[in-house]
Amino acid sequence: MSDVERDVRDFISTNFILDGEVLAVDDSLTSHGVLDSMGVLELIMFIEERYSMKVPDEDTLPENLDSVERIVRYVQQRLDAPDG
Amino acid sequence: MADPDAIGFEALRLPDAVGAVEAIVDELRRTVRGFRRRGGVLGLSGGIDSSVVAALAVRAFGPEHVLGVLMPETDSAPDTLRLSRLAADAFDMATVLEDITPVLDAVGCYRRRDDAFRKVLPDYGDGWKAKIVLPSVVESDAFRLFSVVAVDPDGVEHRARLSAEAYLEVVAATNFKQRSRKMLEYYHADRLNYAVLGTPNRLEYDQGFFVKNGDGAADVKPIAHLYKSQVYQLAEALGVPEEIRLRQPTTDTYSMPQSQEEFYFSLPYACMDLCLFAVDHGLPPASVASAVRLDVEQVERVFADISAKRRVARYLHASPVVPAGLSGSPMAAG
Repeated sequence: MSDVERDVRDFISTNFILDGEVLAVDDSLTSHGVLDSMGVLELIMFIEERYSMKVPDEDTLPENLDSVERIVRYVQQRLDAPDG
Repeated sequence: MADPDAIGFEALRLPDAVGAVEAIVDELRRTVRGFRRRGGVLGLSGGIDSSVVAALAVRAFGPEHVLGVLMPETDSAPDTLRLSRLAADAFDMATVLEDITPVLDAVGCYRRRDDAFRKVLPDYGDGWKAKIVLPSVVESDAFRLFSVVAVDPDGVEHRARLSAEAYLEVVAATNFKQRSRKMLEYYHADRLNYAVLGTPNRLEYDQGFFVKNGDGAADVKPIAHLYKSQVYQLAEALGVPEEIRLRQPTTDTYSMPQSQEEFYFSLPYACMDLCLFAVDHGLPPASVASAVRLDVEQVERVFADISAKRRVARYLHASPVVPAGLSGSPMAAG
């Protein structure tokens, strides 16, 4: 498990009530009731603070944020980018 | 080829508006009588919903048994009070004016809200006006994030995305408005032995467009089964003044004018009604796409938004939960 994935999983388990459920990396966070309109704001704030980056509105898409795997990929891409 | 399931706005039309009025009036009278109350109290906002409920209540109980409470505050639109009185006069009912600004000031509503705005707009202060807005649901698949739009005293517009913390604090603070109003409605209802009449239409009730224990609280909600288009139809049948029927629906909550679409619904009310009707009747997105002038993919997003709002509304509708089946619980068997 990468450091980013560990961070993301820690954030989710600390901030949302999962009732013992373990999320697979590709589980949809919206379908599992983790990401609603408030959860998205919290997730974005977590990413921005933890990785010192701005998440622009145009990046707030399900393909970037709607599973652990997608979040990890998005964050890693941003960190690896020359201006990241 | 036309979609065989296609429906238009006529699907929302009540076949017999007069009959619908009579049925609601009968039910209202029966319900309030069952509560052993002798009339109705409601908050008048100058909007279509409260005006229609006022007219229904006057028919059910007689004008001498209905009280309209006018509860403006410092952020209310300039015409709110005048239109509220216009409705009351049209139905010959009594009103009482309760300016809730001092209550809100005392509880810190404005201070707490402005402190929250300053978390994302540090210069926000006296003389500024603001509102919260959401991007359109139909334009992209992006998650919809709340922003604050504010105008400073020089007329310059500022915009910033709200953090989760700032958003929750703004909403929590402004919810004092709806809860203060409901407190006063119950004060008058208790002193008169009346019931409190809620004014949500079906769109608001279904989608959770209300404050829990605020405007969501009432003893009876006589138009919560009607799509907003149908409320307009009833308004005409009941003789609600034309100026009220032509008024643009507003939240009347923030200091800048804010449409319901900017804050909550993704489409104008008539289009939202038709989409909700389709969802209620198990019709596919294609059935309403032509009528609401969107492509099927956009209607799919609206349907998804309707489902998401229903999930949020579940909490808003929930009564306090008493654990069932636990030892000592009044709900336990035996």
